[in-house]
Amino acid sequence: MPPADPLSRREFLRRAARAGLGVALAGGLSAISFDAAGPLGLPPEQAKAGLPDFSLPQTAGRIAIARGAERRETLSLALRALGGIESFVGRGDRVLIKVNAAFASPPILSATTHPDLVYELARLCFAAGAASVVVTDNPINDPASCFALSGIGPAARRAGASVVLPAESLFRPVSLEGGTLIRNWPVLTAPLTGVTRLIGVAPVKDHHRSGASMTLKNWYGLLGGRRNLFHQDVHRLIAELALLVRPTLVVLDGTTTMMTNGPTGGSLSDLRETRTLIAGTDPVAVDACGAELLGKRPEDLPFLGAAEKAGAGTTDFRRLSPREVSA
Amino acid sequence: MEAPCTAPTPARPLRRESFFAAAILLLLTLIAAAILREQRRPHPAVENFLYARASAAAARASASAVLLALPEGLVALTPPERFDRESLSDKIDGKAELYLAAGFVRLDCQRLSLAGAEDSWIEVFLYEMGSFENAFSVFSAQRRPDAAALELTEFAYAAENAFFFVHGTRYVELIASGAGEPFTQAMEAIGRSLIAERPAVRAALTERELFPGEGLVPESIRRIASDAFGLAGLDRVYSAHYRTGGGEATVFFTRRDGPDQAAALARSYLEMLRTFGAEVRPAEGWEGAFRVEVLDTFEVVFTRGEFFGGAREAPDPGVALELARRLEKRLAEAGHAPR
Repeated sequence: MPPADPLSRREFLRRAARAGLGVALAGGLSAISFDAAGPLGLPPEQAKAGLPDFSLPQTAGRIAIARGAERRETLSLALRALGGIESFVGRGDRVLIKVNAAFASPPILSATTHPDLVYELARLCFAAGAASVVVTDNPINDPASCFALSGIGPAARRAGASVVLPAESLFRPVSLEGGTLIRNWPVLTAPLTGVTRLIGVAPVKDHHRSGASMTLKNWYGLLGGRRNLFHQDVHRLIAELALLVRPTLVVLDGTTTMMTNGPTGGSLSDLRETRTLIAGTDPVAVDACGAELLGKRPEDLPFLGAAEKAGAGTTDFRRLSPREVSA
Repeated sequence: MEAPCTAPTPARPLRRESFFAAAILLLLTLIAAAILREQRRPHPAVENFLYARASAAAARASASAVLLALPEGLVALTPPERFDRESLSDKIDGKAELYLAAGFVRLDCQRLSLAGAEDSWIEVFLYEMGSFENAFSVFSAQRRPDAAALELTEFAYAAENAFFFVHGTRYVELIASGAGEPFTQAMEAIGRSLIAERPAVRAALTERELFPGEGLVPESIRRIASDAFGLAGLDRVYSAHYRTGGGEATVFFTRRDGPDQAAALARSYLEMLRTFGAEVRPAEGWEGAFRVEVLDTFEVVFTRGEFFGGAREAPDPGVALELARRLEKRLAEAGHAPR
């Protein structure tokens, strides 16, 4: 076997340069690929503190009550009474619409956000110049079935919006400052990344545990994990959600109200035509107003008082001088 | 003589070395591309409905197993699902508490669609409650007023878009995505198929006979499985609504293991009412019974043997007393001794 050729200086430098370039490339690729947030299961001190505040100071304390049977019409009326969709969504905004898609049930049962509202709201956001509109929820039942059978998915797509179905990778641990329940709890945060406007849209429903499910309870759909554990302390949880999530706007659909057997209902006889849609920037006030559709007072729903006490809004919605309009 | 100082010519790599080097470089490039693709994928927020459709299609494709023998004209839309006590809230959220408190064992459910009309579907819910009494509890707690009676079982009714009934130890809901004759026919067929496939002992609600007949609102009899009227420990309570000339009220009773237990429960109940500011005093002319005034309503409660019962939410004390007296008389007629 012939002896190996001795390495020349030039060859050494050339090989060293190649090796260095390789290491630099690998390092660069690693830097690009690095996931700074890391996987779930972070220690408590690394949990994300709260969520971004999407409320707009210039629209604070606005509330409108629109009466009519046709949702698209009452939504437009309510928004106009609030100053127009342009007051909330501008050119280039990236909008997230948080619906209530909790159950794989048909729209006629009013257990989920009505698809007509999803369509119209997304359409209006685009008309106001929104760059993107995303619709999401972490349903109770199988997400794909919920979005398909509730009609929310097709309605969102028809309006040009995207639908985000919850996957484990989209959740991050979040802690609410001063919260006792929302501590290092997985929250559906990924769809909120890059979003500039957050709108909640929910139906008015009776709820076996909390007494009512409206816009504040709707944020429950951002939680992951074994969230049913919270049912034992549901009023405090909803109050904490009211502090955690500061939306740009909420829309409460009381066109048809689920008066009994909520939150799932099941029978058309659980429903009453209440022909009211409430929109506003104070979710506590909006829910306090919506409670009347269920024949309840704010005092009957402890989560409203708790949310008010925590500083999330006011239950005295009349103090905000709601604009009332009819179709 | 010393050799001239010239740079040595590097050896050419073998063909095999070149081949392996190229293969490794190609592999590294592919790995890098895969990493880049995964990390530079559009933000999760742009996950779109295509995924939902794919998932739904996959679910439909796997819907071969069925919960029951399908009546003609129905096909499985989704696979059967099963939920236990741990997972029930994954299906019905906050309403799970109602079932769990009543002894829920498991839920089997499945969506069936009308053949050729995938948008027209019916979801079948079979709640195994462990006993007829438990099944009746959840049935009666959710009974819709003014519903049409059904002949499927002794305890069954129909709403515009749904059937609800008790069959043996099961509480059954059939909920349609719409209303109309095709749905009604399909739900009837499903109901009959379920009953035929799962024979059950015909249960009787013997407690119904203990309610006085006059003024009783039909179909208002309810079994409260636990925490009746807000009192922990007050369980297995039967209640019914009454309309009398003097006003409306609720009559209730519960049968305990013995007279002492009934008396202890009555004391706890009255104590709870006192904490709400109730005024409690002995009922005139009725030893052992109590008249209660609370929140502008009136109650009269008593114990008879192992029974604790009474009338509540009456607009005046006379109505409460009259209904409580009639209940006690009925218990006596049914052979339940005072002690």
